[in-house]
Amino acid sequence: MKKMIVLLVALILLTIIVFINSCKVPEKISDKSGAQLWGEICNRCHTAPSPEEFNNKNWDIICAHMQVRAKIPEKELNKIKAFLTSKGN
Amino acid sequence: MKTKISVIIIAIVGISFIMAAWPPQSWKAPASADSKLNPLKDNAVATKEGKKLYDQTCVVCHGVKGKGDGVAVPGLTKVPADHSSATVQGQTDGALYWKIENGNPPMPSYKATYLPTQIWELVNYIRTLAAKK
Amino acid sequence: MKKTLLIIVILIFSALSYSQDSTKTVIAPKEGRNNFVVIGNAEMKYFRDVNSNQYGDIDFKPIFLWSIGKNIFVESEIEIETGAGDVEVGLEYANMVYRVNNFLKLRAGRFLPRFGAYRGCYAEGFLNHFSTDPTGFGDGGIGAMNEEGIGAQGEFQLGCSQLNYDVYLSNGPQLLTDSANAGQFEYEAYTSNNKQFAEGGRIGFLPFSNSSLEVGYSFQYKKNTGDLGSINTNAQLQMHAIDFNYFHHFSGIKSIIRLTGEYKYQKVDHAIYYRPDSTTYTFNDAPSAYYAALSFRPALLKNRILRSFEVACRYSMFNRPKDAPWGGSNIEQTAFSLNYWLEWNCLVKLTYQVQTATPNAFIAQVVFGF
Repeated sequence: MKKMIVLLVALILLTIIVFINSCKVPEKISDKSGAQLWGEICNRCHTAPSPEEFNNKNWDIICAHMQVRAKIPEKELNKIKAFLTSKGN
Repeated sequence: MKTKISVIIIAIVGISFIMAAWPPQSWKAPASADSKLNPLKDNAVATKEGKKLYDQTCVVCHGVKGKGDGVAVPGLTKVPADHSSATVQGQTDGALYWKIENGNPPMPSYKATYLPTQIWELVNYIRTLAAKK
Repeated sequence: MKKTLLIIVILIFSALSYSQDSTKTVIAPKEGRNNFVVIGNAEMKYFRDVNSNQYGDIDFKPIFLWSIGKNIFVESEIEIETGAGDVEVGLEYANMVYRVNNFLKLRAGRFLPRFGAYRGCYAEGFLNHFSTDPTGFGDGGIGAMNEEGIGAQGEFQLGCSQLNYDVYLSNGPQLLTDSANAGQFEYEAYTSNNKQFAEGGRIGFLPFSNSSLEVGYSFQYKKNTGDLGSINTNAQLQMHAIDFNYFHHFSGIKSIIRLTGEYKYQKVDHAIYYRPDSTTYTFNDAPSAYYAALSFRPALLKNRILRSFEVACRYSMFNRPKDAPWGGSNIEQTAFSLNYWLEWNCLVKLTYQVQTATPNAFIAQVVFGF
């Protein structure tokens, strides 16, 4: 019984999530800018850090770390890195 | 214990009101920027292009309606400007152009990313975000 | 097994030859080929229930990162912890990664588990919105905290969605047979107890182009988990898990919400245990655990103090084998948390937890850094 309730709740939640997101026009990920990808991909697990949190050299290696941890596709990662380092040092 | 907790809660609420009353740090474009005129003023096509650029680059912090409530706001050290506010709308096109071009960390500079025409397109689109009276 | 190895070797060599010209897309560091960074975090807990009132669990966990050229990357985390009443130094992970191309990375060493998503990811101090772990997901729960072995991982972009994969071979879990722990596992042994490796993997899918939802399925299988030559050499273990993570920002109510959850299950077959009088017995050893957590933060408000608060609640359940010497009743846990974010990666958590057969507890935690 308890399992059924949990399953039902999960199903309802999934429907709501799909419903909320279906309102948005699907956008090709390859068309997105570095800024957009930074906001969306980093926030997936944690608050997206501001570009000024690290210097450019550090961003380079932290992006490598995050790619291994969060499995971010290469092209998206390069766009995010370009955005994070566009502020200069 | 209970009194301690209530003191802490009162202190937090009190401090938050004081913080809320603090004026936000102002960021002013130099006076020389004001004299720069918008070559695309009232150009509807340019405004449409501006929206595309705005959605790609600005929405992440400034939000879909420019209210400074984009998805990346929680990680920023400063609250992004509300483009619908009188503070932003009251500035000249030239001043807005200068700000997009130069940036103000955490906002990046878009000098290298966008052509001057594209920055003017963005300025045009920001004008459409003004709060309706 | 030999076939699998052969396929892996062929795959690696073909990929290596391809990798020579696929590195153009990587942004080259401006100066020098070697790069070093030390990050990491510090944590402390305050614990209070009817029986105790104490500070503890003071951890310092530096993470060392370095890259050599464009394709070689090393990440390692050292844990210095006081939770066991003494200072303990441990190797959380030492992961050597070789980037073959845009879609394949090989790794070797001690790495974070890929079984489920909580332990390898959301248990991290600043990702977990509670001072405690869900029941069945912390110490004594199902699955490893880290694995030793080799693996491959990669990620693809598929138009509006993304897909990622991870496969690995590791020393894997070892069956415990002593009377107090019969049927439980040592998941993180530094050396193996027989000649068998565990095989495992995870597939993650992000259906929406805004990356807001990730669902994952993971498995692990080990044919022989008992000590070599013992009665339990052939005791096998299979594990399955599904996980999800959802993030949404609501401009209308100036807030962000996060929803995470996971279900995991393990099944032990062909295990036999001895009673003190040398007679044997076995039992249905198939524990499972699940949790769901929701956090809400009005992070888009302009007020700096109010936007830093967050509330969270979590429900978790650990179904333990009824006939196990250590099993018996199931554990149900509910936790509520009020958090305050000082920085994007620094927060203070105030958690109140209600758990079966345990006094209600208030646990506060400070986490600085990542």
